[in-house]
Amino acid sequence: MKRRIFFLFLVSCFLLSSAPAAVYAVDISFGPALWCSWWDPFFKDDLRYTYNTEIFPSTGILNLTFP
Amino acid sequence: MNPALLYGPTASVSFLDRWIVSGTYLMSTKYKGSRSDANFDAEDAVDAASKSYFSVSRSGLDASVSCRVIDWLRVFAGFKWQHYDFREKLYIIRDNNSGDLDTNHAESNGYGAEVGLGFDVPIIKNLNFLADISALYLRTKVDARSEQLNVGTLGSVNPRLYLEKERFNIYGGNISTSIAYFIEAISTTLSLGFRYQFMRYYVDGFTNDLYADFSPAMLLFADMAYKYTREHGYNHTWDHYYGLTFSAVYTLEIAGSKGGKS
Repeated sequence: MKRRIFFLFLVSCFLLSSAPAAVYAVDISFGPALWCSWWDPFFKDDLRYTYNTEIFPSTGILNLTFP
Repeated sequence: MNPALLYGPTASVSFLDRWIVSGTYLMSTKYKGSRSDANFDAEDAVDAASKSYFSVSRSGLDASVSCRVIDWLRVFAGFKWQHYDFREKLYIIRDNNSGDLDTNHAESNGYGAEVGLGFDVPIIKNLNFLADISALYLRTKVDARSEQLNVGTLGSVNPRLYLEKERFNIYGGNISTSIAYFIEAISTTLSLGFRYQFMRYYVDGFTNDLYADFSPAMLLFADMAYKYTREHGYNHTWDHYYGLTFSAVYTLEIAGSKGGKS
């Protein structure tokens, strides 16, 4: 899936870069991009909702946690 | 959660003096984290200690078309795809000598749109301050699978399988700023900046299936209980991403193009 999208993206860039060139000036820019990223995820407090407390307080039957 | 590095190619094509088509594909190293909690709120709950270790890989594509309205202002609209793959090992030990080992996996795919404004402010020749602000919407689907081994107080081992499909509508925004310097000699722009993205999750509906050695009534109740707690737990939650950005972009000028960056 990732490779397919990346391939389509490259093909699109190529087509877009070549088509308008005949009509008007075109700049094509490319290069690497980096993002050093911290993530405060929406599922960070998951355990609050998945402990058996809320579901079966005294039996401990259920537990589950994942986004 | 530990920070991760997102990396990938970026490319853009500018034409007709004011139009820019651009795209950036980023994939990440693993975000790694752990979580734990030893207390329950309810008075009659069984005391337990739990610990989980998880890792998440992200990737995404941002593609947009922007139009320069005036020298320092752009408007843009684009397509956004965001993916992540979550894996977790969860351990729970209870005071009544029971416990759980869960192996969890979730895969998320979100597709949507983004619209915004971009500001380009020249500082000195070839050095610009850039800022983008945008609003985004994603329609996200998550497929989750939890393989659980429950060890009972008498040592019995009870496997369970929980499958869940989650649907979210996500609204958010993106703010990025950078300083960009164009090195004429090598026709390359170096930029260093900061990006912050926030998203709010609105649950659109969960479907779930629990396979366990429960009575039919218990299974039905457990299914409903899971669904209720998880839908409510995730509704109106927030995602925040932030960090430093860097790019080095080479520009190829085709005949008739204006020289230099402004």
